[in-house]
Order: sequence, then structure tokens, then C-alpha cells
Amino acid sequence: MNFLNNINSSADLINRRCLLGQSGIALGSLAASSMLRADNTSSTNNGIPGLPHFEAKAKRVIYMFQSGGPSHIDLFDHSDKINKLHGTELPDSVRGGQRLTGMTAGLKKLLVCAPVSPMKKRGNSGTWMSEMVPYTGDIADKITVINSMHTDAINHDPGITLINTGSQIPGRPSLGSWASYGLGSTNSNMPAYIVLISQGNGKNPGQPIFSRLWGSGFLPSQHQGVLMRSGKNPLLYLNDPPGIERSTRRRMLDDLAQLNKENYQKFEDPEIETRIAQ
Amino acid sequence: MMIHRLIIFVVLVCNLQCYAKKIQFNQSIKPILSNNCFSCHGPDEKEIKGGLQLHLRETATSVLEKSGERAISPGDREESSLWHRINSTDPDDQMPPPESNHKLTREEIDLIGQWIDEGAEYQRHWSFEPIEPIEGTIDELIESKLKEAGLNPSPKASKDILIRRLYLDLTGLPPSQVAIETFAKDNSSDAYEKLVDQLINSKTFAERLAVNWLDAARYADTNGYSIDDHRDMWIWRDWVVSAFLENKPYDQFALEQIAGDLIPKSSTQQKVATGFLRNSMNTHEGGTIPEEYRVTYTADKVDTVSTVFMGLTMKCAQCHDHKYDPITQKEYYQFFAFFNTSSEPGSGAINANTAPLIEAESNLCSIERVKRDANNRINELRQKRVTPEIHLTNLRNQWEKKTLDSLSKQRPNSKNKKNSLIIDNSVKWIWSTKEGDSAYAKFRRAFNLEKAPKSASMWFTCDNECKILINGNHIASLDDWTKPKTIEINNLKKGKNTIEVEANNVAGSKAGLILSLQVLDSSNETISIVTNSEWKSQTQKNNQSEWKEAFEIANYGDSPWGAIYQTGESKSFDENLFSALNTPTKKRNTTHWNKINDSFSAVSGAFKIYINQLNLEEKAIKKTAETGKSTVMVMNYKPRKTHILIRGAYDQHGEEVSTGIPSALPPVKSEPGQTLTRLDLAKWLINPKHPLTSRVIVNRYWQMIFGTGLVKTAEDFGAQGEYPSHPVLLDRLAKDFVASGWDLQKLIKRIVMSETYQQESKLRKSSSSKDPYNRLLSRSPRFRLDAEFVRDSALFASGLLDLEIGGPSVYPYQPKGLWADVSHYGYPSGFTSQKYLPGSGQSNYRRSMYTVWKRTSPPPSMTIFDAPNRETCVVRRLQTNTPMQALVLQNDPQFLEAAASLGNIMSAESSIMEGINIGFMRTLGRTAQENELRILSSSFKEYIKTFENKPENAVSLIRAGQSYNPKIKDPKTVAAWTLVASTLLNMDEFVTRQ
Repeated sequence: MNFLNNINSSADLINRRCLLGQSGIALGSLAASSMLRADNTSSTNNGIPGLPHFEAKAKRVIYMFQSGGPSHIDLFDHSDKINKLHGTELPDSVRGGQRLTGMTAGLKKLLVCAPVSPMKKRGNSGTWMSEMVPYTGDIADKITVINSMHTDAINHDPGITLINTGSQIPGRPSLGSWASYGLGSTNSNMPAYIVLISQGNGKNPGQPIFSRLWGSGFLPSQHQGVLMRSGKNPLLYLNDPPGIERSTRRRMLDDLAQLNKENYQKFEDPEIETRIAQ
Repeated sequence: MMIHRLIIFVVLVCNLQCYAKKIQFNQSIKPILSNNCFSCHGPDEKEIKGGLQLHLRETATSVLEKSGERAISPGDREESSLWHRINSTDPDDQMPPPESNHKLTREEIDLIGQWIDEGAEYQRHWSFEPIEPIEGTIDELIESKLKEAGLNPSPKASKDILIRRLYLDLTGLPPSQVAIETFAKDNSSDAYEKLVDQLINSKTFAERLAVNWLDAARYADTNGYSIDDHRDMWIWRDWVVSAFLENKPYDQFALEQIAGDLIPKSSTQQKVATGFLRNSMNTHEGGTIPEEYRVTYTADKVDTVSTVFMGLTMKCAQCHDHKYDPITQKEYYQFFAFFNTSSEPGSGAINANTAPLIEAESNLCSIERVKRDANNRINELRQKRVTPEIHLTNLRNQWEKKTLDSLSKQRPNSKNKKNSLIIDNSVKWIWSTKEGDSAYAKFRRAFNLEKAPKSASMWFTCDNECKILINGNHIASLDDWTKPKTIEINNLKKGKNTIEVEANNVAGSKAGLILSLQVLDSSNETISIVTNSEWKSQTQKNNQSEWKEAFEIANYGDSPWGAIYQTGESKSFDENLFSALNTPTKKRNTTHWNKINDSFSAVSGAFKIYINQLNLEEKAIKKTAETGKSTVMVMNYKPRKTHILIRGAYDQHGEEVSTGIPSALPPVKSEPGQTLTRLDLAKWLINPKHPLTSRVIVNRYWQMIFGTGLVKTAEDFGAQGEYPSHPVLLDRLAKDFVASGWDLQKLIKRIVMSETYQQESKLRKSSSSKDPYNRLLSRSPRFRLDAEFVRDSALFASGLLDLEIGGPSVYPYQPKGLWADVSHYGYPSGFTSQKYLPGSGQSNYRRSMYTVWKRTSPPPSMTIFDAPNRETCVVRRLQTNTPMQALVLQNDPQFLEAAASLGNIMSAESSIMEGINIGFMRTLGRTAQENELRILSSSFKEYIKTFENKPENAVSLIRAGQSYNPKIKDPKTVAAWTLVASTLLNMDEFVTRQ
């Protein structure tokens, strides 16, 4: 289970850039890095470290995790039997020995509960959906509903850690990190992936979405999500501080590029080049 | 494209030539087999396919039952079925099978062929072999490898580079100008060694070593799971720093952290050391099954101890036998059993440390100092009541104005005294039982009116329903407790009056009655009757039970009913509130503020939550402020049976096991029938003959200094880990380290005294093509500083850094709302550490290792620079170089303030050139070169012009932090210097050790 053997981000970068450097191509601009990345979009497998060894089919992944939504039984998971069994004791064959949370363990009876509103087949695919989601029903043929999902975790924290990282015990990379690690990116100027959270108004958020859920676990931290918060300043530290105008900032950045270039000439370390590009 | 491929080909061929002289199993063959074959043909007995196990020579070379062939026939590849299978292209025959997604390269296949022809000799896994005595210095062993690869070492680096490198590596801070000048002038032959000795004996060195240990020990200030409220483990953190400070031998350091509590007559500090094991995350989320989590905490201890001390991924054997390393699932649980004997519960304490715990002093700072820090924090929190966050201050200001206006109008004088109602937290929710849980309650309140009433009104509500009788007349009922009623009362009389309430509750929910009655009598005096414990109650209908005092369940405004059921402003005239509001802000005392905040809390949910958070945080640190001590979680011994957990599931008990050591490792000495304890385990780990303990730690210090370990996978010395780049050197260092009495200072001194360490870091084309990762060290590596040291260096360079050591964690600047975004902030009962409450003064300038660490939202300027989140053990930080890092350096207020402070220092110089030079000295440890001077001085002049046009920009810029001095005479000059300083702090060279 050791992925770390295969990856060493900065070393890979060195290797990749050394190669270009040695082949006589001048570095030191954004163009260079987009050239590198352009390889990734070409149809051939180029075997350059850090990029996938196969062509990625997916161009983008949008993943929405809606913490605290209505239950699958009420929305998509149709069963004829559940209506008949409504109000009766949950059969052992259904529960199958599934353990109970500290909250439900005290209940005297575990009763079957039918959906709160009727289900209908929607679209040509005949996907079952609750009448409560009429608009989702209108696009039934454009979405896939997976009803076979299963969790061993029975509490909020382990449950949402499991669905986002594959393990209820913290320490594993999140879905976004795997997508970034496995598929790479065609754009080196952007973060590996971004995370939008809808909380953050200071009101009681119920079950919060914490940083572990978009963390990179044991993958290099370049694969961690960059949090975009709600409100006027979504990205941390993006705005120029008060008193610095764009033209001043531009001048500072130009100076910085020149100063770093001076240093690059002394050390020829490609990591300096990366910083210049930023 | 063609060019790239061509070069890759060249590099590969070269690498093969460098490493493929003589086929060694451990170095060349085992990694191939482990990566591609062991998952079906390895140590895990349950997964063996075709009866073949390739990890042992005996099984790999014996005749297979099924085919009658040998997988490996030593000396003859043609007779080996493995050879044919790995060369096959028939999907049915081919190995590894296509569906495995593993594929051997041509080079790997040929290596295996050659190895079989050479006799297919196996070696025991290298890291489990004893460490044999070896000759050679660091430099000799490095150089011999370089020679093999046709490389030369680089020349020695210049003095200015060396002193900066030493300071950054050993203290995490750049050198001061004085230190640089002293070292430059010192021409004695041992100048360098003197400097090394001085640094190794400094407090900053101890702190620097502690940072890595805190990652390994997953140290944090919060509990981690779910609610992630606070814990107090800083006493343990101080123990770690003090251990490095006194150069505690590493064997003792390990022993105390694993089993300090079991050492006979152990001291308090030895018990504190076991906090190492208790740094595991814990939870108290409702619904938790305690046993499941108790097992998780124990497994985390196994993972941490095996990774930190042995570089073993033992956690892989929690659910099944290890796929690559010789650790069975049974052996995992034997190891687990060492840690499964503590009274630590599965469900943790709320807003506090979880037992077992002890109260202890810091090993690093005095009781007075801790008291002072804790009291400062309490004062900070109290100040936040006076000046809360800006949006709450604005809300409160609006409310203050409105309320004062309305109170001024209402203010009674003898002419217009009116009746009004009191609805504030002096009115209580009451019930007949303490928990508010009985189904029925009856209340009675008798009172006397000395004068005839002129008018009276009453406000009330009841959860869930009630009927009210005054003087025997049924005057009102209420069945929706969310809609309180206000009614006029006409049947009161001079003399004795009685209110009676009959109330019903819904089974299972909390009940309460709240009522406020005001009577204006004939002499314009107000008489108030409110629900409180002066009321009588009983639980039975028909007056069968005894009348007892009613219970006060909650204040008006408190949970579970909250302030949302307010009926608007209190109609009564509140003299205290009026006088508090009428006092000018600067003259208000604590009583005034408490009155104002209480009143505003009753009508503002957001403000109430905020005040509640302040109360909780103050409560959490109060004891420390009084005693100068803190509790700390520690280990204890409580016998408990351990079972193999089938598939790792906490409730699937298999065979019972007792404590034991994996058989692939050296046995532990024990008497027959003796049960081994954690203390035995610790003693076994620090036995000088243990093959892993010394190798693993020596490798980590090599990694700390050179960026990459001799074994790159510092966390994994098993089959899936990397074979050492310099196995002989690793063993040499490990052997000498143990012989020195596990002396860390000596080890580190030896490494930095080497010529290998003192080389230049300039990349040379000749060596970078042969050794692109610089694993052979033909130059000194160049790498970015760890997150903590980036911030510390900026603070140091700008003269802001406070070098105070140890103590409770501090709360420096952080963007607003980060904690509240991801926490249970606002949850009715309230938890600690749900909202970041920034500190003031020196807490902004302490070393980064003292910044409070919330696991679900660690400090962003740390994680952006690749600090781990401290949820699980990490012994190797990975380094990235991202645009987010540039944004921190440019725009984080902490770095801006540093720039402003450095700018101020630079502005004091007599010329632009000297200003730039002092900036260079403080940040980069050298003077500026001509080009650099030209670039920056021309920009400086430009900046001055810009600020002359817009002087207001200059002030906004240099006002970045608390250290801003409003008396600065010439803001535009300081602002221009601030921009130059910010440019310096953003340079690659500033954040790099080179």
C-alpha cells in the first residue's frame, strides 16, 4: 500500500525540467509550464513522470457532497415492500446484524418507515424518484442514481470521512486528491482542485464539513483541495492588501522575477523557476 | 516530443549502468517482486494463488504441486516457470496477469533472468538484519558511491552560505547580522565547529528538533474527530522541547514516552512523557459506540509506535496478514495488546482532557510564567466582550442607540409612570421536577398587594400547554408554546392574591412554564411577580401530592427554548441598563458591560453565541491561570484481554492473544509465563541490538538535514520501502549513534561537520544528468524551509520574533471565520475551540510551533507550506511549490506586518543602498549585488512617487499589524521600504536553504 514510492513531487519536477533544460529549451516563463502541460492533452502516452500513463477520459470532475440531505428511502430508493411493512418491526433479514448507533440502540422497537411521499418512475430510463424532487425527475435521463451504496460507519464524522476518503479512519486522501493524482491537470496555473463549502455564516452549521474531507492524506500536498469560501473573498490571501495598487503589485512581481532569475543563474535550481512562474 | 523521449531513454540507461553491476536480491529483485507479485504470492497466507509464495527462497524454488514445475530453478532461467510466465504474452499464461494492472518492464524481466542464472540467492530483508561494525567516515562512504557513478563532490560553500545553512537547518531561523559578521571575522581553524557547538546547545535548536517530533507524535490542541473541541497537551510538548534541550539520550527519550508510567517510582515528568501515546484523536460524538473508538485509538498507537520507532507499516496487518512484510495478523494483535491495557475510554471528555490524566507543571517554564500567559489570555477574552468582532460591534452599537433612545423616552418620572413588563433573564422557566420531565405540573404563587391595584398585565408561555387561574378564575389558556401571550388582568385585589397554573407536557420532551406579571398600584409603584423558585409546584392532579418549591430549569433566553421566543423589547424600565448605556463607552466598567452584553444577548442570537464561546474558552483556561499548571493525558495500566479482531472489526473477536513481538524481529527476553508489558516493549525497542530503532531515527535526522533520507521512505523500512541509497553509511551512523549512548547532538554535529554537508548547492549539469535526484549528494541539496520556519524567519528578519519558549499555545493572526466555517460554532450547548479568537500582543510573534493547532482547521499558512494536519503520525513532509504559497508571502497580514516592520528598520539607514543592504543581511544573510541594488533602488524611488500621489495608501499599508506605530514620521518612506522588504520576503532565496 505504499504509493509514496512512486511519487516525489519535487524530484519529479526537477527531472522533468532538467530534461527540458538540457535539451536547450529556455525556461522561465509561463509558456514553459504550459508547454509541459500541453503534453498531457495530446493523445499520446508520453510517459513523463507526474502525468498519468494513460489518456484521461474525464476532463472535469464535479463532486457535490450534500451533508445532511433527506434519506435515500425518501428520495430514490424505491421498494414496493416498504409500504406494506410500514410501521412493523424491521425484519432481521433487512438489518442483517447491522450495528446500532449509541442513539438508536436504546429504542425499544426498530420500525420500518415508508417514504414520506410517493415515488414515480421518471424519464425513459424509468428511474424511481420521489414526487418531492419534480425538477430532478425532469432530468432523470441525464443522471445516474446508484442505489447500492453501503456504509459501515454509523456516525456523522466517520460516515462523512468514509464517503469522502474511503475509510472512516482519518489519514487517507480524499476523492478530489485521487482525481488530481490519477488524472493530473491540463492547467498548471490552477490549483489541483477547488473546494466550495456552503457554510460559514456564523450560524449553527449542524454537521460541518472539515478540512480532512478535502485533504491529500498520504499523497503529496499539491493534491490537496484549495478551499474557496463563501462570501466576498473566497480565496485566502488572494486580494492585494490595502495600500497596494495593481500597478505597484505588478512592479513588485517583475522585480521578484528578476531577482529570482539572478539567483537561478547562481544555483540553476528548477524550483526557482517554478517560483518565478508564480 | 522526440527530444523528451530521447533524453528519458538516456537517463534510464545511465541509471541501469549505475546500479546494475551485480544483482543483489534486496536492492534489485525484492522491490520488483514486492511491487508486482507479493499481493498473490507473498506472506499473506490467505491470498496465495497457485500455491506459490515468492518471498521465501524455499517456497519459490520447490516443485509446485499443480504443475510439477519449479517457479524458480536456481542457476537456470530456462528451467524456471516464472521466467516463461513473465515473458509470456498469452493473457492466460502471462504474469503478472493483465487484470492486475501490473506490468514488468523489459529491464526488470532481464534483471530477474540474470538473478536466476546467478543462483537466485535470497537475502533477509535488509532492515531486519543486525547492524554489523563497519569502517569509514561519512565523506569516505559518500565519495566512494560518487566515484562509482563517475561523479565528484562539489567545492566547499562560502562562509555566508554555510552560516545561513547551519542556522536554518539547526534552529529554523536565519543568522543575525552580528552572528554573520562574527563568523566572517573568525579565521581560526575551528570557527565552524565553534558555531556548530553554539547552535546545538541553543534553545532554538531544541525547538527546531521538536517540530519534527510533533508531526511524528500527531501533537495538536484539539480532539480531532467530529466536534474537535480543545485538549491540553502542551505540557507534553514542553516535555519534548526540554528533552531536546538537555540532550536526553534517545533511548531514554523513547522509553519514557512509551512506558514512562510503568518505570518503577516514575516521576511526574516521566508520566507526562506518555502523553506521546495519548496524542491520538478522540471523539465524544453522540451515537458513538465507545468500544469501536477505543479500538481505533489503540490501533493509532500501534501505527504511531511502529512507524516512529521502527519504520514499519504494522497497520497493514490490522485486518489481514501483511502483504509485503513478515507480520501476521496475529502478531499485529500481540503488539496491539501492549497498548490495549489502559483505562482510556472510547468516548472522550467534552471540552477537556480525557482520563487517565495528571496535573503537572511545564518542564520548560515557571509556574509564574504560565499563570501570566493564562491570565493574559483571559484578559484578551474579556476584552473581546468590550470590543467583539467588528460585525457584532456594529450590531451592538445599533441596538445600543435604539435601546437608549427608547429607554430615554420611557424613563419614568413622577408624572407619567406607566405599567410595564419585565421579560429578561431574571424570569425563569420552571417545572415541578428538576429535569422538566414529568407529564403534569401544577403551580401556585401567592402574593400580597398593600395598595389597591390600578392596572396589571401578564406575559406567559408554557411548553407544552397550560391553563391559568387568578384568584380562582380561569383567565387564560395557551396551547402553542411558541406564541407567548400578553394579557391585561382585572381581577386582582388589595390584600392576598393567588395565581395557579395547570400545565401539561408531551412525554419525552422537556417542559417549562415562564410568566411575568406587573401590577401598578394606586401610588404608582410597580410590583413584579415572575416565575422562579419562589413558586410552589406539585406533580399530581387533584392536589394529592405535597406542594414543593418549583425548580428553575432555565433563564429566559437560554436553551432549549432560546431567545427566539422573545416578544420584543422589555417593556419595563431597566434603570441599570439605562445607566450603563448612558455611560460613555470609555468610562464603562465591567458591571456596565456585563449588563449591556446580557441585555443584547437576550435579543441577538449571534451575540449570545459569541459570548457563550468566550465564557467556554475562559472556563477552559481558568484553572491554569490559578495554578500555573495544566492537566495532561497520560497512559496507565489496566489489565484487559486482547483478541484478534477478525477483518479488523472491533466486535468480531477471534483467538485471544497476549503481548508479543513479531517473530521476524529479535526476540524479547522474558521468563516463562511472564506477560510482557509496555515497559518490556520499550526496553526491547531500545536494545542496542535492535536492527530498526537506531537505523530509523538516524535516517530521519539525515532527512532533516539533507531533505531526503538515506532511505527515502522514512516511514517505511519494509519491503515496500526504498532500499537505502547508502546502506553502509546508514549502518555506520546507526552503530556509532548507539555506541555514543544514543547522543542526538553528537549525531547531528557529526553530520553537519562532514564535507558532504559543507558542499555548494549549485546544480552541475554533469551530475544532474547522472543523478537527477541528487541522491548521491554530489552537491548540497537546496530545498524550501518547513512551514514553521518560513514564518519564523520572516518574524526574525523583521525584528518581531518573540523567542520565549514553551507555555500554553497562542493565537496569532488568522483569516476570519476559518474555524467557525468547519465547526459546531453556535451549537446550543457550546463547545470549546469552535471559533478562532485571535490573541493580541506577543502571541502574534511567538515561534510557529506554539500556534494553537485545530485538527479540522489547521493554521492555513502552515498547511499551505505542506505541514500535515496532525491527525495521524507523519515522519516525512512532502514538499510542494504552489501559487498559494506565493499568496501567503505576499498578502498574509503576518508577512505584511513583518515587511512593514523590516521596512521601518531599512528606512532608518542613511542611504538607499544601505537600506537595501540591511534588508538583504536580515533576510538573506548577505549584502545585495549590483544588479539587485539597481532593481530595488529604482523601484524604491518609484514607490515613493506613488505614495506621494496617494499618501493615504502609505498609511493603510504600514498599518498591517498590531506593531504599527502611529507616530511614524514619514509614512510614505516607510511604506516604500515596506514594499522593498516584502519583495525580499518573497524571494525564493529567502524561503530556501541552499
